[in-house]
Amino acid sequence: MSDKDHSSADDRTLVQSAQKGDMGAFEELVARHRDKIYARAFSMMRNEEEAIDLSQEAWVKGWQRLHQFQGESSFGTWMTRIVINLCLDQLRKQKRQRTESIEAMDEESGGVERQMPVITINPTAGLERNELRQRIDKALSQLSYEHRTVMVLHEFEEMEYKEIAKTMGCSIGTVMSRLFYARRKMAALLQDLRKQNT
Amino acid sequence: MDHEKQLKLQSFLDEELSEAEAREVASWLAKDQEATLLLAELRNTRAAIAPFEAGIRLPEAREFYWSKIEREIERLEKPAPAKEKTSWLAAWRKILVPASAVAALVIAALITIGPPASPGQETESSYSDTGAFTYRDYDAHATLVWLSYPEENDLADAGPIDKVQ
Amino acid sequence: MRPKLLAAVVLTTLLCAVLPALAANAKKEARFEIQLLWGTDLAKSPDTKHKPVEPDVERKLKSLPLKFKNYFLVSKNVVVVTIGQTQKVQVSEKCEVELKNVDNLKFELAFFGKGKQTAKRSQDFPLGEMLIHGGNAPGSNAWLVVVKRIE
Repeated sequence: MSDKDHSSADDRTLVQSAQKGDMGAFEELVARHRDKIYARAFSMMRNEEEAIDLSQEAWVKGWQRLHQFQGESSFGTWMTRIVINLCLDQLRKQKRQRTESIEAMDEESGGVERQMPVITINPTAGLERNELRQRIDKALSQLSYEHRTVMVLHEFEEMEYKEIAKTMGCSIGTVMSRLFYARRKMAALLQDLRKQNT
Repeated sequence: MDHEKQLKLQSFLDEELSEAEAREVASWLAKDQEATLLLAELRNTRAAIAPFEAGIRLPEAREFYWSKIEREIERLEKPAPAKEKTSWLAAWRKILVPASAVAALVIAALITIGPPASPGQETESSYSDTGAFTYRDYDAHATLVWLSYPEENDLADAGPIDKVQ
Repeated sequence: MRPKLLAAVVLTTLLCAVLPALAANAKKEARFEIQLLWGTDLAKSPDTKHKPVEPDVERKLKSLPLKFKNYFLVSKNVVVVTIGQTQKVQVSEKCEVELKNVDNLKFELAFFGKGKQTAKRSQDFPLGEMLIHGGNAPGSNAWLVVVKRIE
C-alpha cells in the first residue's frame, strides 16, 4: 500500500495491512491517534515527558499485539486501553516510592466530600474554552492519583464502574466513593480558581 | 443526606442504576431540593471536564515521535547481535611467544565453563510440533512457546494446588 | 610493558572476570514453581477449584502476544532440583514436566503429553526467568504451563 493509499484508507484497512507487517500503515495509525493516546497518558500522569514516553511505549506494545486486535472495539479505544494499563503500572510503581501526603491520606479515609456545601455556580459560566481547560488542568493536578485515575477512566474513557473496579483492582464501592470525592473536589477547586481570578 | 444516598444520586447521573432504582431516584428528586442541587453540581462538573482532552496536542513533530517508536520496534525485533571481537585479542597477537602458555591455560578454563548465553535464550530445542512458535520478551524475562496442536484438554484431573516436591 | 608482566596482568583480569560467574553457580540447587493455568475470555472460571492467577505471572502474560482476557490457576507445584539431577513433575493427568539442573544456570526442560515427549529445551534460567508453554483448549480457551525460577 502506498503512502497516498494510507492517508485515504480507513482504520480497519490500515490495521489489516499493519497486521501483515506494513509499517507504513501502522505509522498512519499512529499519526491519526497519537494526540488521543498522548492526551490520555497526560491526563493520568500529569507530566509531559512521562506521557510522551508511555504513549510511545503503548504504540510499541500495540505493534507487538496487533494480531490480538479483532475489531471488537475501535482501534483508538483498543490503544487507549493499552496506554491506560501502562500508566497504571507506572503510577503504582511511583506510589510505592512516594510518601503519602496528609491530604492524600485524608482523601483515602473519606468524609470531607460528604459535608461540602453544594456549589451552585456552573464552573464553565463565562469562561473561554482555553481558560476553562487551564483551570481543569490545574484542578486535576491537585487530585491524588487514585481519584484522578477514576475520573479519567470514567469521564474520558467512559468505563462503567465495574470495569474501572477491575482495571484498578478495587471494589465497585471504592470506585463510586473515589469518583464522588473527585467530582466534589473538582467542583470546589474550580470554584476556588474562579474566586482567585475575580 | 447520607453518603449512601449521595452515591445513589451519582449512580443515577452515570446511568448505573436499574430502571426501577432510577425511577425511585427520579421521584425522590422531585421532592428533595438538596438532592436536586447536588445532582446539578455533579452534572455541571461532568460537563465541564468532558472536553478537556480534546484540546491536548502531542508536543512533538510527527516524524520525530514516530522515529523513536520505529527504532524501538526494530530493536525489539532484531535478533541478538553476534559478539564483537574484544580488542585485547588483537593486542595478544602482538606478544605471542612469552604469553602463549598462559593464554592456552586461560582458554582451556573458558572452554570448560562455556560461552555465556542470554538468559532465556535457548541453546537447543526440539519440538514434535513443527508448527510451534517461540516469542521472547527480553524486558519481562519471559519466553512463550505456543504449540499449534488442535484443542486438547490438558486440564483434566489436574493435581491439587500448592504441592511441593 | 614487559611481556611477562603483561601476561600476569591479563591472567589476573581474566580470573577476576571468571570467578564471579563461578561463584554465582556455587549454590547447589534451584527452586522452581510450575503452574498450570487456564486462559480464557470468560470473567469467571466454571471450575470453582480454580484460583485467580497470581499478579506477577499475569503481568508477564500480558506482555506476551496472547489474546486471553483472564487466566486462572489450576495447579501449582514447587520443585527443588540439585545440580546434576533431574526432577519430573506431574502437572496434570496428561502433562508432565521434567527439569534437569545442568550447572544451576543452564537447565534442560522436557515436556510430556500423554506419556510422550512433546518438547525438549535447553536454556539459561536465572532467577526471575519464566518459560510458558501453551496450547489450545476446547472452547477457544488455552492451557498454559508456566515454569518460573524462584530461587
